[in-house]
Amino acid sequence: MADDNYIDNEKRFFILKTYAFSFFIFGLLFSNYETFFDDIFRIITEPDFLIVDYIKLSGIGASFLNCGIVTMAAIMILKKAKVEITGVSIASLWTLSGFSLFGKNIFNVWFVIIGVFIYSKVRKEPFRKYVYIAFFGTSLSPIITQIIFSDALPSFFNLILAFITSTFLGFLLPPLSSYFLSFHRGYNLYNVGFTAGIIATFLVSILRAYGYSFEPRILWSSGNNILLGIYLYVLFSAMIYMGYRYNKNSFSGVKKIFTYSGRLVTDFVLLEGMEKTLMNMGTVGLAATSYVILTGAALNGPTIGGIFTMAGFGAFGKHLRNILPIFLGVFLGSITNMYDIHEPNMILAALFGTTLAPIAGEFGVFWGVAAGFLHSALVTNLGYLHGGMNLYNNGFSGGLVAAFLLPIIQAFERRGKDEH
Amino acid sequence: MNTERIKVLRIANEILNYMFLRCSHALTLELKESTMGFEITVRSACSHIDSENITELKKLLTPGRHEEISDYYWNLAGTDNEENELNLIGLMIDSAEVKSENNELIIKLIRKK
Repeated sequence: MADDNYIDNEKRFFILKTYAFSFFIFGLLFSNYETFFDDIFRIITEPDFLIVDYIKLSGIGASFLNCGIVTMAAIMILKKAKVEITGVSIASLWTLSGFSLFGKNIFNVWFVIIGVFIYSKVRKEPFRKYVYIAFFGTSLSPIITQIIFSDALPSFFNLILAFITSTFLGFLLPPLSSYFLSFHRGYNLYNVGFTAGIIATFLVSILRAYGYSFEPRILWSSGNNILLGIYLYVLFSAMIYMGYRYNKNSFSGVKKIFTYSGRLVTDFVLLEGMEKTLMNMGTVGLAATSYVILTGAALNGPTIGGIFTMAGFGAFGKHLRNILPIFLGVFLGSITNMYDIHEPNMILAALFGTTLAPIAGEFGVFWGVAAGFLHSALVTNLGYLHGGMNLYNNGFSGGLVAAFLLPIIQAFERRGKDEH
Repeated sequence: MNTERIKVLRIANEILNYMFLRCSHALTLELKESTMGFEITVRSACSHIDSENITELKKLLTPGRHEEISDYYWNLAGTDNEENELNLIGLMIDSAEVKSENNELIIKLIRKK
């Protein structure tokens, strides 16, 4: 077992709270106090289906305030549930933080969480067992906003309908998400994204059959790369430094993380310790930020959401060795297909496409590049199916890519082994 | 069959798979159920497992039971004959003992009820 006594659970909570607090303070610093309440209100009431950049909608200040509050509330839930902070806790938390910049907010995240909570009570099991599914499951939050603020029914009935729908989704998520793991065999890190994609596809199909329509829209800000770039580089550099300090002023042991394929379940906190995990998370965060900047794309709510999610999964499966082939695959897709490399769908495909990192980690660079390339094409075709209601569209695509590629890879790999 | 027993069989299958790929193909599995829980012991002649392998195995199998992780991901255990999920097995059990005696590798796992 990793020598991890140096950062105990209390310190882990403290580190997470510090980052949540930093989001909040950054938000306060850049808030417009004259329009503050209007900005927050707009984040809550605007439809949240893909892609709604809260920075475009309400500015940097309100977006990061929303992010800080959601993150802090989620940490309090983990604390209340008496959870030991491990890699999956960090991944689920940072994913929640990231998406709080484009689709999840202080109002809409609770409904799915309540649904999962009720499921745990019906099963007579502690909520602790389902808390990660609940956090990841907030990818379905746009459905709540869509129903509550729809004008199809009077407000009160919309609220009731939203609550019933979310409870129902909460009931579906735990058994389905566990079952769907076998579909991609742990090679798609955003498993709830895949599950939520299936659920949202069914739900949206039913709603479409009854006349509801889901018009695609893109709110996408740009022009903040210097400010947000500095913030992110400081954030992730501090993370590396913190890990370095806790690791007794040394980088030793970090390379061991690169030896794991990253396939579910690879919890770096449990395997290698929190201090090495922090250094890995920081490195992944810096690599993701640099990719966005070098490709000329915008740093905004969705791309920072992708960067935060990647950094979070730096505690739960991702590292430089298994993410870079995915980047390369999406990059090759972007320069050869009809989209520009810095367009929203391509830059998000690169960041969130690292959900397929375990394929590169297990089978090597070639298959990682192939997975990234396929993902860059497939992910642009799936949004229609769920009407943007599943925020983890890339997790949905990742599950399909993994399930498609695995039999092919293993046919070649096995043939190679048999020939020896 | 109840879920608990399926989980135990998946754990046993994962360990069998690990030893089948790395040790001799003559394996002995002992699986005991008591009121306290399940005890799984797998033995195999394994001449080329060194102390480094034993240390790595211990590391993977002894992080302690983490139900909040394993109850979600347990479906991945024991289903794949190509790659191992020992990380996950470690999260599904309460204790593990790994030792090598006279070129025989012995892995003993306990999952409490």
